Amino acid sequence: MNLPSLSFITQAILVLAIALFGYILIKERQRTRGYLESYDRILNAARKLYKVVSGDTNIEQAFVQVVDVTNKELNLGLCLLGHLNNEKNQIDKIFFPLGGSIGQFQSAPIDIKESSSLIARAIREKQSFISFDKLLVFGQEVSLNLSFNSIFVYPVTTSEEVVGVFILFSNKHPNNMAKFELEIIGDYVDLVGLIIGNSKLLTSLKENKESFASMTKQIYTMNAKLHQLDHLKDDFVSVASHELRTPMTAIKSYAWMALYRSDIPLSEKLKKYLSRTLISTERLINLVNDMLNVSRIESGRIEVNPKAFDLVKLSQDVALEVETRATEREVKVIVQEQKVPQAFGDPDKVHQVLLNLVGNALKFTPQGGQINISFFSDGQNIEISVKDSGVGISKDDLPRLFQKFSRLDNSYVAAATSGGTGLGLFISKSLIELMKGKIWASSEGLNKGATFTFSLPVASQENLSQVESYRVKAGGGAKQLEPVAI
Amino acid sequence: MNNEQKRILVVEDDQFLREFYQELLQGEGFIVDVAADGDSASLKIQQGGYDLVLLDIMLPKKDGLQILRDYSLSPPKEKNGPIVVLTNLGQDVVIKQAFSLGAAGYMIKSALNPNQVLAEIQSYLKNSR
Repeated sequence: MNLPSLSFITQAILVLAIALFGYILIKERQRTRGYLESYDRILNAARKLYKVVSGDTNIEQAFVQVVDVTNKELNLGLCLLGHLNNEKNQIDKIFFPLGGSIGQFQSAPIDIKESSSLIARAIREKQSFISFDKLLVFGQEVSLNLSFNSIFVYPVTTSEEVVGVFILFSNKHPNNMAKFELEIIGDYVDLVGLIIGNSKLLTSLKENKESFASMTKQIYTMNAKLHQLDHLKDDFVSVASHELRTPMTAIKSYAWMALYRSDIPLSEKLKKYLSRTLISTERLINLVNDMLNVSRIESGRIEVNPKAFDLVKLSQDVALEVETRATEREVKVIVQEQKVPQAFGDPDKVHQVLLNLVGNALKFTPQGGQINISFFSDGQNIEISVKDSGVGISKDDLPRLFQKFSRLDNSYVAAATSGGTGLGLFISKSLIELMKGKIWASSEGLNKGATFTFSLPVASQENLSQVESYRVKAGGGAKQLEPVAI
Repeated sequence: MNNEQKRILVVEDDQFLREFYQELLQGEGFIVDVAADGDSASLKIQQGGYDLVLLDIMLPKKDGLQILRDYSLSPPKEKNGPIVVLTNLGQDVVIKQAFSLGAAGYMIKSALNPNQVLAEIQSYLKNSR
C-alpha cells in the first residue's frame, strides 16, 4: 500500500510507535493477566483453606493445613509458618513441607522479647521484613538446604492478636518483582490471619459449648446430691433426736423417782444433787427439741398455713398454760382485754412464739413481778407486746438477742437455774418472719424490765384473698415443730 | 380414785423405761403387765381384759401401728380399755395414723415428768368409765 504525502522516516516512526504501543499493550495485558492469575490463585488457596480449617481443627492443625495448602496452591516459593506461644511469648514451632507432608522445623524457640531476629521483630513491631540472610531471619543457625533469592517475613494477625509468623523463601529478588507481586503476599498473609482467627473462634465456641454442657451436668448432679444430703441430714437429725430421747427419758424418770419416790430419807445435799440432775436433763431434752426445730426451719421443712385468728384469745390460752409455773414463781400474767382486729398468720406457730416470749419473761422476772400482754393495731398490722418487770437487757445485748446461742452477759446467773437453750428467740424470729411479720425487743436497761413485741399482718379482706402469697410450703415433706420449753 | 384391781399393760422395748413405768404404776397400786416386743405385746392384747394399754410405737418384731391395726380388725372377747400410744417423736403423721387405727390418745415420753404421766393415766381411766 502506498502512503502518499508521508516521507519514509515519518512512516518508520509511525510503525515503530504502533509496534511500541502494541508491545506496551501486550506487556500491560500480560501484567494484568499475571496480576489476575496471582489473585485467582490466592483466592483459590484461601477458599481451600477455609474449607479445611473448621471448628474441629485445633490451632496446630490449622497451621499445618495452611503450610500444606500454601505450598501446594501458590507458586510463591517455600512457605513456613511459625506458631506463637502466647504464654511463653516465643515461637515454639515452625511448620514446613517435608517430603509429602508437613513437619516441624528444627530450631530452638525464638523468644520474642529478647531475640534480635527478624521473626521476633516482625511480631514485636507488627511489621513485615525482607532479608537475604537466614541467620538474620531466624537469629540462629538453621539447616535449610535451599537456594533462594529473598526471604519475606510477615507477622500473622487475627482481628485480636498476633498468632504467628509467615516466612517465604522466594526465588525472586524484590527488585525483580512487580508491585502487585509484593502486595499479594501481604494480602495472602492477611487472609491466613482471618482464617486462623476464625478457626480459633470456632474452637473456643465449641469448647465453651462443651464446658457449658459439662458444667450444667455437674450442677445438676451436685444439686441432686445436696438434696439427698439435706434429706439425709434431716432424717438423721430426726432419728438421732429420737434415739437421744430414749436414754434422756430414762435419766429423767429415774432421777425423779430417786427424788420423789425414794425408799430412804434423803439428805438435803442428795436432794440438791438429784434436783440439779433433773433440771439438767430437762435442759438437754429442750436443747434437742430446739435444735431439731432449727434444723427443720433451716431446711425449709416448716409449713405456714395462714388464717384469720384471734390474737387476744390465743394470748389468754397461753397465759392459762403457764399459770402453774407463774403461780410457783409468784409472778402475775395479765392479758389486756382489747378490741383489736383479727391477725393473719399460722396460729400454731404464733402459739409457739408467744409461749417462748412469755416463758422467757417468766424466767427473768423475780418474785412478785408482773408480765403484761398488750396489743396495738394501725389497721394494717397488729402488734402484741410482752412486757415484764424483770432483769432487763443492756443496750449492748439488745442487738444480739435473736441470734443463735446468744448468751447475754448479764443473764448467766438466771440461765443456769432457768435452763434456756439459747435458740428460743432465734426460732421465734424465724417463725415470725416466715409469716411476714416483724419481731423486736426494747429495754430501758438493766433491772428495768424488757418488752418483746412482734407484729403480724391484719386479717384484712386483701390479705385473706392473697392467702397463697402468705402460705409457706415445705420443700420435701413437712415436719412439725417440737414443743417449746417454758 | 381406787387403783386396786386396775390392770395396765405397758409395752416398751427399752428395758430401763419399761421397768420405770412398771415401778411407777405398781407404786400407785395398779396391776402391771409388760411386753418388750411386738409379738408378745400382740399376744397379751389379744388375751384382753386390760383397763389401759400404754403402747410404744417403735417396737422390734411388730410395730405399734401394726398391733393397733390387728386389734381393730379382730378385737378379743374380753376387750381392753383405751390404748394410749407412747412416743418420743412428735410427728403428726404417725400420731394421726395411730388415731385412725383406734388409739385413744398419745404421750410424748420425754416431755412428761412422772407426775404428769400419772395424771394423764388417771384421766384416761376416768374417761373410759
